[in-house]
Amino acid sequence: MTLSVVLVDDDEIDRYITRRIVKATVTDSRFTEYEAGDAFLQAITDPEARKRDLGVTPPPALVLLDINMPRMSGFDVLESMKKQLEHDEDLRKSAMVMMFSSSDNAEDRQTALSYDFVKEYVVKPLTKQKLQELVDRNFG
Amino acid sequence: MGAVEIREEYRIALEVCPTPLMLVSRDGNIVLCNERFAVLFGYLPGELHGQSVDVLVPEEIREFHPELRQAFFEVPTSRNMGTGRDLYGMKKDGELIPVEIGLDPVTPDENALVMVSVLDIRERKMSEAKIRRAIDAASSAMVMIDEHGKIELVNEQANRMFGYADQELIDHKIETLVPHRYHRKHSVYRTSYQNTRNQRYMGVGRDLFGLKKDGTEFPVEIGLTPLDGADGRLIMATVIDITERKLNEKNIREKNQELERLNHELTEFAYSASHDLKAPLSSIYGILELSETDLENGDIDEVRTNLSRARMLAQRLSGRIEDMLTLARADHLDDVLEEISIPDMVREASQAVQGQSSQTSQLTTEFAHSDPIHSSPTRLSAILENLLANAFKYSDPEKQQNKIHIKTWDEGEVMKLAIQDNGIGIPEDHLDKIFKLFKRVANSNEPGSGLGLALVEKNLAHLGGSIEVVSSHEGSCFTVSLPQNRKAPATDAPAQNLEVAK
Repeated sequence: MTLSVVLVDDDEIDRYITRRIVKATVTDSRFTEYEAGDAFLQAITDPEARKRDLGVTPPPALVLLDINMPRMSGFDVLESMKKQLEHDEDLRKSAMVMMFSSSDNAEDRQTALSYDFVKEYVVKPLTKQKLQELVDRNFG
Repeated sequence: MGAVEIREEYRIALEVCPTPLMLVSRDGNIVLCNERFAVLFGYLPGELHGQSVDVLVPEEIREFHPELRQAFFEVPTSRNMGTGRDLYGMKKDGELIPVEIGLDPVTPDENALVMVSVLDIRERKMSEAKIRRAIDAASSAMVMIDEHGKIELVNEQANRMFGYADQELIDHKIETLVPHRYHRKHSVYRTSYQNTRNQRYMGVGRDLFGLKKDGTEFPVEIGLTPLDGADGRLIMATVIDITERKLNEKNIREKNQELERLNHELTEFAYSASHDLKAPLSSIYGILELSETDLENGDIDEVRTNLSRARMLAQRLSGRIEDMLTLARADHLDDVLEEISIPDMVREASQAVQGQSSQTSQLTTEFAHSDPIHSSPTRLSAILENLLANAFKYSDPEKQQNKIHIKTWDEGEVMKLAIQDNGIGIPEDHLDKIFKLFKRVANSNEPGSGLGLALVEKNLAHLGGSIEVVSSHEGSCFTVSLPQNRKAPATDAPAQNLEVAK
């Protein structure tokens, strides 16, 4: 089954790293990336964009969300997603978020995992091994 | 009226009596006095015989004394003279001595005599004065009231504390010293206290206030001590003015809050700093790991690209560290003020910035201030370079030509410098955050430490200046104000607190 993976990260190099790791780890994946949280939010609320990026009846979708982004942080994105998920059952059933950040901050981890759709908190850099474990655990 | 015959027995009786005594006739003549009496008033034995009693009366009341004496003889009864008043007798040498005087009619007829006994109360007065001095010397204010709440005694401290003159409060209700809004309650508390009469502090846990004569209130602490004696059930209240203590408490509380705030900011700073320093490092780690894979697969081109990416990241990291150090040092710079030519400095700054920038912009200038200015070259160049770097960095790719315009002018004693760009602008709801540490609001891929504008503001604060910003989709304009009071350059401007963005 094709795994739809969405990446939200403002840093170009980090996007490159993540993109390569996802492609090397999840062979059957549909990879979509966003440079900013608001672009991603627009995509999941707009049916057309969603159809294009996540599939019509969304398959299990993995959202890799960076915390530290200018203008709109990963936490801001989570807040908006939470509201969106309240009246979007399809998305609620399928979407799971993995937060990642370059610092292993206990408070950040706690905040992130307080959202029930956030399943993982990963400290950058993402490695093949980390992603493989995560996929096995959540989609295996 | 003729001389009065004195029986010998009287004379003997008077002499053996331990109290100073004299017999006075209705017309105020001293008929007889014992030796003790004469000695008390400094006369020789027998010297006072036949003299008027008025010689023993202090001068200021001598005038009224005959009238008082007449009144006594109209209804002669045994009693003390001048009850409730302080009485004084005058010695031969004019010295006044405090006395207590007893009057006893002896022969109730035409030739009425009155036996006058005089008690020397100097010692008693002295010990009273000693107690009074002790009470006045007490460091706390003392107010004694009777069981009806009437003030009986007030020491000097209390008068001073509440702003009254000596004796002014005597016989007033204690509520005189209590703010009006507590009057009703206070009289109830007072009645309750009369039932327990224990030694304790008043109103523990409540804030108590005293009322001064001039109407001002002040916080107090009051100790209550019941005093039971012949004078009735008295209460001594000791009052301490705790205005200063309250003020100190408030200061300490504020200092604590300030410390907590600073501590919180420091935590935030550490959080942001560690995050910002770690991010490029973990990217480098990721890149190098990918490069290992690429090397194994012989993908040398990708390795080459990634090495240059790693180099760029290392550069970015080193830049951030440099920025943080600069910011930390900004508080400790020695401000050497010099004559500065703004056109020269703008030229240098733009060369430095353009060397680092990937963007090209057309820079125009319009200098209309009085040059040179007086300022710190280190700080001013940091301000100009950061503002210019932003103007270059956040250019709008949608616009045909990137333009930056710098203009200067004088506004009284203030030099103004405006940097206007036609870049991407700053969203209005982010304008108040841009000067905070680590806050990056731009919708741009340009790397930044989020420290530039914080550094600008801090340096400006040290120069006594300020900065304003207006921004729209058309671009942003930062206007710097630099006071040019050449007489007293602001070298000691208070260091700004670090405000870290959440």
